[in-house]
Amino acid sequence: MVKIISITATVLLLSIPVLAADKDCLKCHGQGTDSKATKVDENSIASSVHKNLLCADCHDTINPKKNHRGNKVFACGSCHDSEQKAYLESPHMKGRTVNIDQLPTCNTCHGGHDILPVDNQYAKTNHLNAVQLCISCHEDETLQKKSDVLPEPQMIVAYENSVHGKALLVEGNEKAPSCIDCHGSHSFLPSDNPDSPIQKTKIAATCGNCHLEIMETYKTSIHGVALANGVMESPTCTDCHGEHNIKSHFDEESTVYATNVPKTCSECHTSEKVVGRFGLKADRIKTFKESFHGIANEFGEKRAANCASCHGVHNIYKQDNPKSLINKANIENTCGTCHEDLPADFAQGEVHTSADDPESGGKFFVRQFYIIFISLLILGFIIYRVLEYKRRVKRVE
Amino acid sequence: MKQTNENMNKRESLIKDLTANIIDSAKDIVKETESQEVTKDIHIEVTNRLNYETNSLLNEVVTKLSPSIVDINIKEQPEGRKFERFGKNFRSQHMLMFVSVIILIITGMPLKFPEFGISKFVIISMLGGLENSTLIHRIGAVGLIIVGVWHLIYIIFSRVGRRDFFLMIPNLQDAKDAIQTIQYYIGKRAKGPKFGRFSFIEKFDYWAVYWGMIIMIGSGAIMWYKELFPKYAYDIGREMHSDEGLLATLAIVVWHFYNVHFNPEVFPMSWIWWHGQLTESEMKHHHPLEYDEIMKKESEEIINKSKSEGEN
Repeated sequence: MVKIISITATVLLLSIPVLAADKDCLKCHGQGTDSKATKVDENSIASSVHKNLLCADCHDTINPKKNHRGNKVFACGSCHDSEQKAYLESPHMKGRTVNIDQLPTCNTCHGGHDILPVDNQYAKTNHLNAVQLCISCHEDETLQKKSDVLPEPQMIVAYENSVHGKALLVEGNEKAPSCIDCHGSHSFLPSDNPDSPIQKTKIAATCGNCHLEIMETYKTSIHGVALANGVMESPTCTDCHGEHNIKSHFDEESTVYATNVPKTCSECHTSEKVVGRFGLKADRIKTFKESFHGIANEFGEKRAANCASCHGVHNIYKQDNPKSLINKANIENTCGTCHEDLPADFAQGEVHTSADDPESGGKFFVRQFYIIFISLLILGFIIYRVLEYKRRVKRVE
Repeated sequence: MKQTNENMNKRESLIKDLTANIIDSAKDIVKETESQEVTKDIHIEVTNRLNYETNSLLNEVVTKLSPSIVDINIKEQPEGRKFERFGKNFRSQHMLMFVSVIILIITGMPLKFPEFGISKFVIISMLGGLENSTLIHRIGAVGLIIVGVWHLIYIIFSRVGRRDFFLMIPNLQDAKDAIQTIQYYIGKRAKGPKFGRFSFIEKFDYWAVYWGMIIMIGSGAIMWYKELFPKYAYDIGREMHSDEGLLATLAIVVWHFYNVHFNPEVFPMSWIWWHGQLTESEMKHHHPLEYDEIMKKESEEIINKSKSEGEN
C-alpha cells in the first residue's frame, strides 16, 4: 500500500513541472496573449487524439529558453516509427527533396493540433473523407506540371464517376474503397515499385482484399498463372476493368460491358507484341467479327455472345484444360447456355472460321467462287452498258 | 417541226392510193367478196392503220435525224394500239417479289457491312435493333418463298405461264443474238438482231432470278433451321447467303435498275410493272418478231373471217 502511494506521489510530482512547461508555452502561444508568437487553439488540442501529449512531445527539438522563431520542426516519427519510414519512401517525400514544397507531410493530411484518429468521421483521413483529401491536391494541374511522374488530374478525378467512387461518395457505402485502399497509406509507392500494392503482380491481391472469390478464380486462370510466372504482358484486373474509372459491367461505358468486351480483349489479342510473342492465333478477333455473334455485337445486341460468353471471364483456361468452357467436353454446355436446341455435332464444329482461310473448307471456296463470279458479272454488265451507250451516241450523231 | 400543207396532202393521197392497192390485192385473194359495206369498213381501217404507221415511221425518222426533239415527238405521238405483255397474275408476282426483295436488302445488307455508319443507322435507329430487323428479314423471306411457289404453280397450271416458260428456255438463237448484239454495239454490224417475245437478255434476267432464289432460299433455310445441320454446313450456308445476297443486290442495282429506271428511254421509270402494256412502237422496236407473229396471225384471222363471210 505504501508502495502504491509512493509511486503515485512520484508520478504526480514528476508531472507538475511538465504540466507547468505546457503552461509556459501558452504564455506566448495561448489565444488570449498579446505575444506575436503563433497562436494555438487550445480547444482543438483538447478534442484531438493527442490531447494527453505535451507540446514538447511533438515539438521536441525546441528549447523554450532560446528564441525558436519559425521553428516548425516536429517529430511524429518518435512514436509513429513505421509510418514515418513508409512516408520517407513515398513519392510525396521524394518530391519534397526536389523542392516541391507543396507536397504533403504528416500534418497536411492528418492535421496539426486538431489531429483526429482515422476512424473519427471528422478526420480528414477518415475513409469517407480521404478521397476529397487526396483529390484536393491531385486535381491541381499546376502541381502536375511541376512533376513528371504525377499522373493527369482527369485520370485521378475519374474515380468520382467510377463504380467505387459512386458507391462510396454518393451511396455512402463504407465498404467501397477510397484511394488508400488500393494505394496504401503513407508510402503510396508507385506502380513500378515491386512492393507497391498497385504493382502489376500485386494488383490481383489488392483487389482480392474485397473481391476474394474472383481473385482466387483469376489466379488459376491462364492470365493469372502466366502473370505469376513472370509474363508481364498477361493482364491483371485493371487491364480489363480499368483503374480509377472502373465501371460496373452493366454500365455501357465499362470496358467489360457485353458489347465492349471484344474491343477490350482485342487490345492484346490483335497486338503483334502479344500474339507473335506467345504464339497465339492472330485471327481470333477478326473471325469473331465475321461471325453472326460478332455482327450482332457490332449492332449493340448485348445478348449476343462475346469473347467472355464462351471463354469465361475470370475463369479463362486453355482449351485442353478440363475446366475450360471451350473444352470439347464442356463446349456443348457452353453453347447450350444460349442455344438450348443446338445438337452436339453443331457445337463440336470449328468456331473461329474465316472465309479468307483455306483451312476453313467449304466457306473459303464459296467466298473464292463469289469473288470471281461477282467480279465477272459486274464487269460484264458494265462493258455491255458502255458498248450500248456508245452505240446510242453514234446512232444519234 | 412544221409540216407544210403540200407535204400533208401528198402523203394523204399516197395513203389513199396504197389503201386502194392493198384492198385490190385482197380482192385478188378473196374473189367473191363484193359487199360494199364490208369493203367500206375495211377501207377505213386500212387507212387509219396506214396513217398511224406513217406517223410512227415519221417519228422514228425524226428521232434518228434530230435527237433534241425526241421527247416532244414521242409525247405528240398519237395513241396507238396497246399490247398486253404481262398479265395481272404475272404482275402481282413481280410486285410481291420486289416488295420482299426490298425488305430483304434493307434488313440484310447492313449485316454484310456491320461496321458502316449507315448500317448501324438502318438496324439500330430505323428498325430498333437486330431483333426487329431479323424478324422483318424473315417476313421478307416468307414473301419471297411464296413468290417462288406461286410462280412454279403459275408455269405449270396457267396456260399463259406454260407458254411463256417454254418461250423462256434458252436456245441456239439466243447465243447468236448475243453475239450479233455485241457485233452491232462495236460497229461490226449495221443492225442488231430482231427479238421475239423474250430477248436473250430477258431470258438471262429470268434464269438469274431462278438461280438467286434457289441459293438464297436454300442457304437461308439452313440458317433458319441451323439445329438440323452441322456447323460447317451452317458456315457454308451463311457465306453463300451473304455473297449471293451481295451479288443479287448488285445485279438489281447495276443491271435491272438501269433497264427499268435509269435507261434514258424509260427514265425515271417504266410503268410496265403496273399496267403491263407496250405501245405498238415499243412492241415493234423491242420485240419485232413477236409483233410480226401477232400481225400475221391477225391478218390471217381477218382473211379467214372475210373468207368465211364470203362463203356464207
